[in-house]
Amino acid sequence: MTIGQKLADMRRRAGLTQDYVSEHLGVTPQAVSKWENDVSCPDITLLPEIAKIYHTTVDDLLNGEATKEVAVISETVRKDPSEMVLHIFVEEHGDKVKINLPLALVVIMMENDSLGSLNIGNIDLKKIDFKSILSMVHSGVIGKLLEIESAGGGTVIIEVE
Amino acid sequence: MIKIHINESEGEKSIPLPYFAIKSFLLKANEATENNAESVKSVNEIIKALKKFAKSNPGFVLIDIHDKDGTNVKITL
Repeated sequence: MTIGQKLADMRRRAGLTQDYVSEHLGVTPQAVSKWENDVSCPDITLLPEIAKIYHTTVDDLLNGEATKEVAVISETVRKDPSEMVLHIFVEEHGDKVKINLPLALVVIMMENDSLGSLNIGNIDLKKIDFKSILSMVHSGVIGKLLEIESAGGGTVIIEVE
Repeated sequence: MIKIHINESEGEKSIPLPYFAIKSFLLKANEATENNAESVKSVNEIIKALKKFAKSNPGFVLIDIHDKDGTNVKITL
């Protein structure tokens, strides 16, 4: 994976638009597009801020893989849960839905049982054990925590960053 | 303010939705009434959490839908 592809992937996973990133960093949207298409690279002084808004580290930006596999993060370097995001990707019959839920919101929605009523297309998320997922996250587990292929051909992926 | 961006072949639309409108929608969806104080409380908590997250993550994409016909709908903070 090239640096540009990695930057694009990390931006999408952080749920940000190119316009937002360009505005936040004080560069043009064309510059962000060029980075993501490997036409140019971001200035080195921008890397810490890019890492911050992409919820990652400079080291990960340069060396890490954008698609996170499961990892256990030690308590000392763990992100504050209020800054973490739960991603739900659903793909079914060519339609793609991505839901990025701040973890704080997931906790509230679990408490009032709203997550159980979340249906996307023909895919019923009711059977997903969000309580266990949350418990794993609180123990420092992040990355792709769940991948389901339904009999109807749909796919659900749950990731935490 | 939450924004709904719709990008389809006919063009682009952006619909701003103030938090009170979201709150009203959630109250209705949760059938939260004065007799159901818990539901009202959780809707208030959801709005509070959204506002707090939006403050540190403006432009955050909550929902991103790409349908097979090429329409893209995004809900952003």
